[in-house]
Amino acid sequence: MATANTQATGIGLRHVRVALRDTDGTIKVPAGTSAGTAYAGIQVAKAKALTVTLADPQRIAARGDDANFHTFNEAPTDSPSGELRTAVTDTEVIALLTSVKRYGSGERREVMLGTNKLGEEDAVMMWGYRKAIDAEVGSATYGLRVYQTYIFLNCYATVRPATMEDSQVGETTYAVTANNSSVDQFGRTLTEAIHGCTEAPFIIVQSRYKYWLDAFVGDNVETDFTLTKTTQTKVGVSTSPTELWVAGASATFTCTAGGVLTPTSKPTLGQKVIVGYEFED
Amino acid sequence: MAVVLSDYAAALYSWLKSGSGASSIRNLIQGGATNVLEAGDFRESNADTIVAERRTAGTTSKVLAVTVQDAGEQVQNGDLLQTVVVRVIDRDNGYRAIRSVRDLIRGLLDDEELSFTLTDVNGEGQGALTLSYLGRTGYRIANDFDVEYEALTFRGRATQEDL
Repeated sequence: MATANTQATGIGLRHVRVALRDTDGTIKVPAGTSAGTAYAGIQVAKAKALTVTLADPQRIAARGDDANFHTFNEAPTDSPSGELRTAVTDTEVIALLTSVKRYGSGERREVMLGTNKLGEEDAVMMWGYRKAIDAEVGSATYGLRVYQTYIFLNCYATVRPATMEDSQVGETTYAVTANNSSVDQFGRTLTEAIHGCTEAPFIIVQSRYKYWLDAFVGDNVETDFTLTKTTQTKVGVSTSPTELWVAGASATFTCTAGGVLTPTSKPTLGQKVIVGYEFED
Repeated sequence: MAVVLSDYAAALYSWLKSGSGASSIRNLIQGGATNVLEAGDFRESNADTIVAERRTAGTTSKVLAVTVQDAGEQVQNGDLLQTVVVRVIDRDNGYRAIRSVRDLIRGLLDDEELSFTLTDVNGEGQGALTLSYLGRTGYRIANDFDVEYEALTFRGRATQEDL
């Protein structure tokens, strides 16, 4: 029996976001952000391509009697990698990914590249989604619009600035080096029981509507957490449940139609709150 | 809930005629949604009638009509490529009114705006993947209908469960 979002055909690249990775493996909320205010990273605007290259396994042939009689598939020796191409030079994104500062006077913006910070970049999380359709033959929802999201859980990104060339729109390219994470986007420890693995660099999410992640930090006072997508949030929709994770553990909550989420237990001071949900424009 | 339609031509026609995002386009068409037509429904007699209405109303900045033509379909790599031609039609009014409507269509119509579901064909499901703008003709004169127009071409990519 067909299960929704098992098979999907995607097209294009709709939206990409990036955020610093916190020590708990989740989105790092900037210091000074008030407890009830969501942080969803920053958008990498005008994204054109987000490619993922998982490392090839080692193929080691066993030979004897002048022939291969078996090929072993062993763990790769390389790390996964990726590339993000955009049509925009975004000084804020460059500063965040390369651990430098964006500065300048008035409306002038300046950012350094190729600095002595190379090799000392902060780890980031990067995720992007695109439109897709349910492509499972025999499914009652074949052709229904769905969305695919790629999430790099733990990566570094280095910048190649856009080329200045006659009659060409320059592309800024970010080369991504992906590393394993032992937790998922919610800070939940990866387990064989749920995930089938204990470490992974990358997740594919297929959802009915556009997928979004919001991060908050509790202060033992705030009880209401306003989601970024407010009234666009899918609340109480069986195809698209909202998930609340506090300090890496699933937590119960109520959520209004306006996207105000109230955990059953108030998050304590410094506790990371991650909400995964879907929204429709 | 997304409206269910047969193809991209039907989707563009539906959006232009009644989509909330296209209201500013209809405001620049004499008679509004009434003169958003499928290509075969526009004749020289339509143009004569609409010109008279426009003269009476004094709305010289409005175009006569916008038509939507289903311009065929090809199969490529297992996907269906459907071509749709949208024509902005005017008479004796130069290019300025056509240009305004053309810019609005280009600016407002995108994949997010055109939210619809494709209906099944002989029991086989279809899926609408993406809509692309291919280009426009610029200012043209149609002697058979005694009108001026500009045609914008769009291509929709769809999949079918079993081609």
